[in-house]
Amino acid sequence: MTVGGIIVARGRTSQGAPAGSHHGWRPTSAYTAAIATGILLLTTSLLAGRADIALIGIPSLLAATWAHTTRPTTPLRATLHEPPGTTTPGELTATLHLTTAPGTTPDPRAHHPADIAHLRITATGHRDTHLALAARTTPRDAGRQIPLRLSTVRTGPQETFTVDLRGSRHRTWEEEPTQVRGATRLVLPGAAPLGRLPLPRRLRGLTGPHSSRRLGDGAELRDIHAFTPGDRLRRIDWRTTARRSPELDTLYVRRTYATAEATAVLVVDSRDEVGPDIRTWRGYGTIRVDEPTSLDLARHAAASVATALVDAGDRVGLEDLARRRRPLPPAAGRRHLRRLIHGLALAHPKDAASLHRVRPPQLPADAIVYLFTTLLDDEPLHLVRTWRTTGHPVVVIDTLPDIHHVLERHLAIAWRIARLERENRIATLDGEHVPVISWAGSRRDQATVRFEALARADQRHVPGRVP
Amino acid sequence: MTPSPLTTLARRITLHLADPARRPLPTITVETGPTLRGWTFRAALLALVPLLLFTAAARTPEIPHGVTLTIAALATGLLVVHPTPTTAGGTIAVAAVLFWGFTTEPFDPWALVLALLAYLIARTTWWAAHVPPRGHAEIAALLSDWRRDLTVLAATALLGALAMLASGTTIQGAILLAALAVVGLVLVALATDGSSRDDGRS
Repeated sequence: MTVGGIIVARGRTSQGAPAGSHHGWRPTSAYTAAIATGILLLTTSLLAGRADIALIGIPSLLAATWAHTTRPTTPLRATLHEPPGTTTPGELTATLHLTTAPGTTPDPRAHHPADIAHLRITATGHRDTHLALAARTTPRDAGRQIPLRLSTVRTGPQETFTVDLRGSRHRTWEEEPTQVRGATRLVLPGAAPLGRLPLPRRLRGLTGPHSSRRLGDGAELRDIHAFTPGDRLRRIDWRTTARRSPELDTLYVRRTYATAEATAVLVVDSRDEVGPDIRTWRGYGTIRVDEPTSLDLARHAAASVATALVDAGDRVGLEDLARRRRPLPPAAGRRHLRRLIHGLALAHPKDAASLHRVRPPQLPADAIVYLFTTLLDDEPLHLVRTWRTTGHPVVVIDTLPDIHHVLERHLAIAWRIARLERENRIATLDGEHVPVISWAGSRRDQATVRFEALARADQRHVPGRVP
Repeated sequence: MTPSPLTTLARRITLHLADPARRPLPTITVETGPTLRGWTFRAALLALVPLLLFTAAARTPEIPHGVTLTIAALATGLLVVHPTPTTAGGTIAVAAVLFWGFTTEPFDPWALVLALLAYLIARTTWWAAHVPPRGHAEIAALLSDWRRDLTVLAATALLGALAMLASGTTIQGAILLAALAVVGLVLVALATDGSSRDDGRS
């Protein structure tokens, strides 16, 4: 290996000296320039016979000579500490630990640490940050901690920090640069609070938060009926019996609807990921990290719907159109919600996935489908029609972000055509009574109202409420 | 009615300026102490270099003003655009030549002022070379070597005072300057507040 330009093998340099004293420190050109200028001015003053000329170069010469006598012995080390596990948008943080503690130096008096740390911090989609910091908080400290934070709103797997570090001492010694890299972190989508959501027309299960069409144990009254074998005695309605059968020859019982749970399947169209800048749609340029993409919106919307449904006690499953091998079957509970959100965070476009025809995923019977898509091609339309043919109600959530205005004429024409085709698809869905709810920009605030309106409209079909 | 080319151009410029995709990329938030922007070092050089060169040239009246102006403009531009230790050393050497002026004057006490300015230029150039204009330098890092700098400047003042006395220049202030330099050196040597001893004991 090479340390500061010196070949080190088995702990020793090629000259046989212990390699411990070499940590990649070398004198800078500032030292050379100060010495050269000082000597030049001293010579000039001797030739000119004027001491005052030499005095001009004396401070730099003194400082350089003094600093050169205290060669640094320990390297400036840096480690990046990141919170373990997953994180949420806007919380991509880390702490850079700088350490100047003496390493293997046998004599503590020879401990000459770096006094300035030069940092170049880079992260995908961010401006490079150049910093020159004091290597220690106080001269007594062995280092310092520097909190870092990214300004990204993106979700899913995210590259974090890369820190290039170089220590310097007295502006005379400089260290070989080193690099510290952060790990790729998974940013889980957040969830917006939603009210009631549309439910499937038929409910399943023997218990749950909703009233089903069946007779059974529940709170919602269905009718008053004559006692039949099998009815529980505690269900006898004595007031009705006394009113209708004073002779008590017939007993009447209160019959209720059984409770049940709804099943919903979230289908995320992750075949493509587009940002608000259409110049990046063909893969050129970098999508900005401070603006959510269509997939970020889809993750956020799906996480919000999943949270609302699971909180209501319903069963929720997940299908990823770009990654069909491992769907999450419908289930309920907080642990399943964590699995769903984790699965949403891992949804990502697959190579050429948008070029293949999508086969509709197999869905459980009586499940409602929430489809999160940009509607930029006809595949979602085919899927919706297939599901509706098999009796599944479908709610489409439009996850295309608000598109920025483009100056380039050819792009403006292309976007105009794509926008008209998309509006045509939305109009077609609207004509087929498939609700399309937009999740982008300011329209996201209206999504809660739209969901509530759809849930109220569906109430007319809930058994027991319809005469 | 077809819009005029000027109107079209103005509209395109307006749209270009308002294009949200052309905003600067977001920054990484780093929690540090108070900092200075990197361009302030170049701005400081913009003031310090002419000050050094004009001060040096002012001590030699024989140098034409146009020559001084040209040298100052060239040196300032070079250091601001390309701040390296070599250019700083060259500028200091040029200042020394201007100060000398190929004359045989006795010891000129203005050499102390020039020494201070030259040291400041060398330091500022180092910072300008190491911190890009959009970068930041922590003030604590700037002041990390203040004792060393003070000691160097005090030692220079002491040397200058001794040289002045030896050259026979009849300036009463030289004695006072030497005394102040000695006091400064003693204070710096005895100051232990905030600095650890070399042996690691407090």
